Amino acid sequence: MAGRRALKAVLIDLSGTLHVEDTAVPGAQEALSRLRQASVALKFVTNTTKESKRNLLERLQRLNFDLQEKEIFTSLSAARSLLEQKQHRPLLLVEDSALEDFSGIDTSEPNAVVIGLAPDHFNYQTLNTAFRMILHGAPLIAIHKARYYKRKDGLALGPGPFVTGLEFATDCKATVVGKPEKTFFMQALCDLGCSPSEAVMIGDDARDDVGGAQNAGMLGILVRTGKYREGDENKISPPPHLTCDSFPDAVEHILQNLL
Amino acid sequence: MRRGHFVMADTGWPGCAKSLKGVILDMCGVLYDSGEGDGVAIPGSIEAVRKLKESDLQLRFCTNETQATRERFVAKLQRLGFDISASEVFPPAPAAIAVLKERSLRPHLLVHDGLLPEFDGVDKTNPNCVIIGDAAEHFSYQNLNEAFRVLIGLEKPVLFSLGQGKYYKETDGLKLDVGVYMKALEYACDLKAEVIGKPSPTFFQSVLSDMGLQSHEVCQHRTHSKTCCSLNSSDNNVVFMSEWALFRKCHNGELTRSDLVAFYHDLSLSTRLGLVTISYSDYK
Repeated sequence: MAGRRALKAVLIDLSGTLHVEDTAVPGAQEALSRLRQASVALKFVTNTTKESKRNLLERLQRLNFDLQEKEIFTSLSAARSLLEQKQHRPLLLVEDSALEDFSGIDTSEPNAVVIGLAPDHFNYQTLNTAFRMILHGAPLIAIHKARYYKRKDGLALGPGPFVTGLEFATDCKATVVGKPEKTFFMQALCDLGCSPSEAVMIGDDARDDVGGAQNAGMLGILVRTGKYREGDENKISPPPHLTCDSFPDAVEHILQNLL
Repeated sequence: MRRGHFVMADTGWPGCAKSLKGVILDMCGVLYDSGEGDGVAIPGSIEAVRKLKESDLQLRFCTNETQATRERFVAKLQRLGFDISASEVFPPAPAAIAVLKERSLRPHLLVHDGLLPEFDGVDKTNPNCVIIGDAAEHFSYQNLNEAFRVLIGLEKPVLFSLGQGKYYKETDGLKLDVGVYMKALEYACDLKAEVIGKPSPTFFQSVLSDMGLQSHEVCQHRTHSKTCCSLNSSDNNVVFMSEWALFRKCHNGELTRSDLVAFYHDLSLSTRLGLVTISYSDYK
């Protein structure tokens, strides 16, 4: 691999890559253990916004995955950093279960709108409230703009469509803090002390996981689990470094070819 | 009053008015303002419509109203005092039904309850397209998800949007319009919706065909929704006058700048269609 340095870090998507809801992807736990034996740093990166870091950790541990809370980096973490930086008081359209990641942030008299994956809040009334705030100058912050995600009962709309709708209504552009934004990946690699050219990303979303990572200078591996649909690998340019069936195959490829 | 009177040079009226044979009137914000109950007729509009009908100009009305069937909508306008009949009114739903028939499509509907009866005769089994209208409270996550799932499951997804407005004004504030949800579904499914209703050129063309006229023979009078719903102007400051009232005032020398607020129009669309437009600047 001319021009690339040795691999130092692997970023791994969670929902759709290691598990789908409460079911682990077959063989993923063992594959993760094998990966840990190699000398690479790991970070679990996710746009999941329904759950706090603690919830994510608990679910993954229940599924017998070996990981620690500090290895998890979410778009919620990225959003919180932005709010603190700009000292915004947000109207938080995020699931109740994710609110704990914003504890300590002043939400009185909100002057910013934060939109995550929050089906309960995407009703006409709440969206109208958010719309009017933005029209009056409140910045719109999108935790991410995923088009849809996989649920037990099928595909479901992500926050992306609603953010897009509000951008259209108000002629404003949202600040997106999650994947596939470059800053998200850079922030995730930051405390691992490595550059993008020394890292690879594994995920099930061609645009947000693989496209975003490659755009930041990393290699991307697309897995055919979770929300993957036939032909997704053709939707990004350049195409994924590798498209394979699932996380265990991705790990095999890394162990054999990238170290 | 005859058309001939308006070609007088001192009124400042565009010379092309000579060839005018028809008028298309927008409705909400031009004939009436929506609000409590039926809303309220804009002063002068009822009389203006009557006079237009008495003239030899052909008259049609177009609207993006999708919270009620054409029948009920027209009945409301009649209650407000307008001399108007269903065959003269062009809302999006009947146009959409014609398109469905033409292309053998069966719709999944995400529209206001009040519009459902318009689709009574339409086969809605095994939908192979989605139609969204101004569904207001029905734009719940669940309903949108259902529409999304129909589209994402189709090999050739087709989404019709009845209008594409961003928002409109109601008595209790600004509300999101169908265009916002159209954009949402476009983004989710990576497709482009087909707009049925204003400002689609096909829609205006169907009105022209019904009148049997060419675009250069028709004068379009409508409001530019972005302007009339802008935050900085309340409807109290905006007076919508019908063309007829304006002609009259010009002719009588009564027109002054302070009278005029109301001629907003979609310049680029009108130009594309070759419609004669009345510009605010003509009356400076």
